[in-house]
Amino acid sequence: MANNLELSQKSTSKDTSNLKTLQKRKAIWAYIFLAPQIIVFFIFSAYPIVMSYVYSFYEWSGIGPLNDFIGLANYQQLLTSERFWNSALVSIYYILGTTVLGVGGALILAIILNDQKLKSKGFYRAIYFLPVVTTTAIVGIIIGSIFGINGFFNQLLVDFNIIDKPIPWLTDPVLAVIILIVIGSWKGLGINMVYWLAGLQSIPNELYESAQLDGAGFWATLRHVTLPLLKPIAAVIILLSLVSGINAFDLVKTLTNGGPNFATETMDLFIYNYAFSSQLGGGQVRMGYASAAGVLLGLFTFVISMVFGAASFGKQIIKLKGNKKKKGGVKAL
Amino acid sequence: MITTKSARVMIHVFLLLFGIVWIYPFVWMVFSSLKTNKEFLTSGTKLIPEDFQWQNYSEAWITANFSGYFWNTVIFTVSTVIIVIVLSSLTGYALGRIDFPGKKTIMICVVAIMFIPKGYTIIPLFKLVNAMGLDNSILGIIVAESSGAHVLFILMFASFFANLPKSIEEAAEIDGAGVLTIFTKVMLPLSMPIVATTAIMQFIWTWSSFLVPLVLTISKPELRTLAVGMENFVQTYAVDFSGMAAGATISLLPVMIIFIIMQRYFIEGVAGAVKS
Amino acid sequence: MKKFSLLFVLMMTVVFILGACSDDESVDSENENGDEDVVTLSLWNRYSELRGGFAQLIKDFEAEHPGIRIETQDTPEAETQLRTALSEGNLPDMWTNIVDLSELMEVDAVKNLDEIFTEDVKAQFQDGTWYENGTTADGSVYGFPLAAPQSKAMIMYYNKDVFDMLGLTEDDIPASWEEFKALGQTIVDESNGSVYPIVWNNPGWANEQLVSMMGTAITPEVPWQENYKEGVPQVYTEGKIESAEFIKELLDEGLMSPESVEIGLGEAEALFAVGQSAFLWSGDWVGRQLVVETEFENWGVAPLPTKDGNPYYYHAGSEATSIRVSNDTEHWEEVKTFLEYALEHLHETVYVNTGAGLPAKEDVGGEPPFEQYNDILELESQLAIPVPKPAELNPDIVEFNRAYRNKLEVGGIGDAVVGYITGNIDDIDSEIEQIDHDMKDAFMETLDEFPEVSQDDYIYPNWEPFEPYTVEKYDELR
Repeated sequence: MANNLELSQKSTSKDTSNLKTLQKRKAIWAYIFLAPQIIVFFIFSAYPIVMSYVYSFYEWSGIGPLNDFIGLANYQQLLTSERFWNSALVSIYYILGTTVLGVGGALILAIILNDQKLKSKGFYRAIYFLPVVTTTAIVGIIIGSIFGINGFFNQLLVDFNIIDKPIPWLTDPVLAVIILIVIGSWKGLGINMVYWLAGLQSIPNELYESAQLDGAGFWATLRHVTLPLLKPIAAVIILLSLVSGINAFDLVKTLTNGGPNFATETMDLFIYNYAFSSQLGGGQVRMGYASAAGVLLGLFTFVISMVFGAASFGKQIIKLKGNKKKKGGVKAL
Repeated sequence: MITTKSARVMIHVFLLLFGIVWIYPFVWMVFSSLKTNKEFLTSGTKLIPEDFQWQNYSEAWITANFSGYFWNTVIFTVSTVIIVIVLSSLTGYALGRIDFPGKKTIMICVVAIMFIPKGYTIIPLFKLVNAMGLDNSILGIIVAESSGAHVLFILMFASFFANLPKSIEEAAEIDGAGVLTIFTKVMLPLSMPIVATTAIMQFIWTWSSFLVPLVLTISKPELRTLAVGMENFVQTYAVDFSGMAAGATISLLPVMIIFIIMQRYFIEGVAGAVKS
Repeated sequence: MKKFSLLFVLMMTVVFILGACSDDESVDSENENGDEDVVTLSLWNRYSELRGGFAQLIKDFEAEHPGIRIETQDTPEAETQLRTALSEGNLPDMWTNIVDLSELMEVDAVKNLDEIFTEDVKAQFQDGTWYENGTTADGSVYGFPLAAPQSKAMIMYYNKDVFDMLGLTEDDIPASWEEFKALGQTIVDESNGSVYPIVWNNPGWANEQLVSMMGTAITPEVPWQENYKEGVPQVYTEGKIESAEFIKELLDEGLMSPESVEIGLGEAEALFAVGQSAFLWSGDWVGRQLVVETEFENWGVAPLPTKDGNPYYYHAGSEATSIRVSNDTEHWEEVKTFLEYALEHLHETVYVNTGAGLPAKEDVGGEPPFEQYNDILELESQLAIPVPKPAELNPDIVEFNRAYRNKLEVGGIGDAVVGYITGNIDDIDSEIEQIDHDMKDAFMETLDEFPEVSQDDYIYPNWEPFEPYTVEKYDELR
């Protein structure tokens, strides 16, 4: 994102008026290039965001005119709703669970797979990455079938005499949340592994070599060389994982649909249920109420990224600014 | 780093065993799709079906209309990927390569967008698509899915273009090439790594996309994508388990195969995103 | 990198060509079907038990009216589907009732059917078919009635194969909870655990219905969520609580298939049909499902077991099963033709001939496909009893009711019961008491907002539980 100041300085020998028209022409092109994105952004992002705030002040079923302004009543009701707080709690469990399991597990795997001498790395990498490319909603359906009372997993445990009675994985409120976390982590682990590998590969080999010369073993190298150097990328990976955990809709909708008794209802499923289903909402469809919950979910996301961002990025942003010019940019592929 | 031979063997054993568990759900899905419904319920942990019921696939493909869902998903995904690449490369180029008044403001806006609390935009988005009259064509879900600012991709493109040497442009300018020509003929080809990363990331997201297609196509079976069609199939035929597995296989297997063939590019593409 | 871009371009090209091909195909097929003179009507059906019947009816209809085609679509998530269609202005020509009539009326989405339903025609339907915010609004007809109001009460299906296997006879059918448990234990013991006494299912609505019905045998003054003696919402009753506890006991004591807590109705039917359970609790439409969907015919029906074997009932007209017509239909004439045809044939073809339940129209012909149909009919006519409907006397109740329900966190106690059975809620008593309390609070609060509605509108001094609340009774109060 370094600007092109140098360009203008270099070309002072040229005719200045010519240069000015050239720059003007370029600037016009810049606006033309930006126009599609800006238009699309205002129509399809900014407008819906604003409207979702507007809806939240109305009692509205989504059909018919928006005419029943109720001020902050939706927010009041939400903040006193046990079901809403429960969904926030489930979301937090899910976010933390998938981050600890998914990011932590991925780090271990990445360290193993980063070993230069390990054979068939590509094969393992592919296997562990595979769930990432699958459609979450469909995975939810398949997993639901595997973890059913008479599903494959229980039958396996019974066959091996590990248990004598099938375990209700998806209908026990605690187990169901655990299954959601495990499956969510399984689904996302591959992508985190690749992120970690990218980080590990950016560590220069000389550092390992000098560590070896110093007589450091595997664990010492890991502790004193690898992990400290991974810190900046760790912040990014954890943040990405936290944010993706907030949108657990696909998996939860198809795996447990929030049941039993809303015990596994996450915030985004709560919103969907109120917005689109009277059966699973409060007996009425309430777009305004759902929108208010959406605004709170947005604030929740905002707070998480801010708190986390402030905690981990604070120092690095300053560092990054200094490094930018030296560090020739992107090293993709 | 790990030197002893036995440790190495242990690691391989661990990676292999765990890997089998890792992908077992998909193996189970494929074999279940070839069982009869009764066998599905009664065969316990036995994996291989007695007779391969290939007709489960023709039933899912034709009768349950997974063919329609499949092509909808293909059109939906490819169009979205192309639109996103075009939008974010153009924006990235303007921000990374050209000086113009107001650039700083736009830069700040782009970054700020990442942090605005979004609210629940699917409801207004849905209303908007209807108001534009796009609700009866697949264009509606394409527009809804590819809309928004793809901040990550824009920043990737911007920093890539900003760091290319000036000489490239100057040479082309001396030849009399305009901004558009430089962009399409010189810059975009150079940015292929970023295009690839964008394409792959967006491909994975869009192919799996659920909420937007669900809300926009729930009342229009002819526009449904695989994920939505699958959900609807399960709701309609709750007891057709092997049909469910066949539908799921149709939905998941093609992408898995594409991934296995091109896995290096997928993984490098994703790694590219985080590196920048 | 070159190789990659090549591969990528190649992939995209292939995908596009394939995509284009499929597009052509769909265009072709549309052309083939799209005869210019044929009008196509759309009908969305959410009742899986009516699928076969509708297909037959439409086949017969199209044979007689070659100019009209009817396309049906199954809508398993009927409400979401209709709501999205509604806000898109994209309604099908016809759909089976979903979304509260008052809500549809408010946006003028549903067609007045008075043209078809003259007083004479209306009289051909069973008592209780026509009621406000169900089939009618302000006395005008807005729904083509399908199922009889006196239906949908839950009954008990028993598997005769299992009975024969265990040497049981009809005399062994349990009437009380105690008998049910005793017999259940015998079934488990004698089948060595291969047969469960009961397979149940987990949707909230089904659980609320079951505990409410079983509950009326203990506290009959609360048929559903209101007490028409005291004029308040009430879900906290001994009957409901004890019934929920009974279901939980069955599960805990191994008398209920453990799958019950995670399956829907369809799966429960399938398990019952393959002999995994001796009994199944469900509605009147299940006979058809068993015979057609699972090809199982050797079953019988009996009332649900209740505490001490006392009688129970369900409020008739709980759901206005009917076809609604879009006010925006471009083919009203054709729709009318279809509905007039349906008036003559639908109840026979879709209900009686398939055994999918009891038709709303009186004296229809047809041949039920299985002999148990008449037993079901008889049970339903005893068990589904009309109760007061406050909106009949005060039309403002419709609007009031919506405002009241908007204040509620949950629409009923179904999910709490499911939560209790699955072990998510320990204390069902206080959970339901809380819901009851919230309902009463919201009700009172809404009363203050609606001066035209008072608590008296919910008090029916001339109502006695188990006695059908007829038109004459309303007149007494008018």
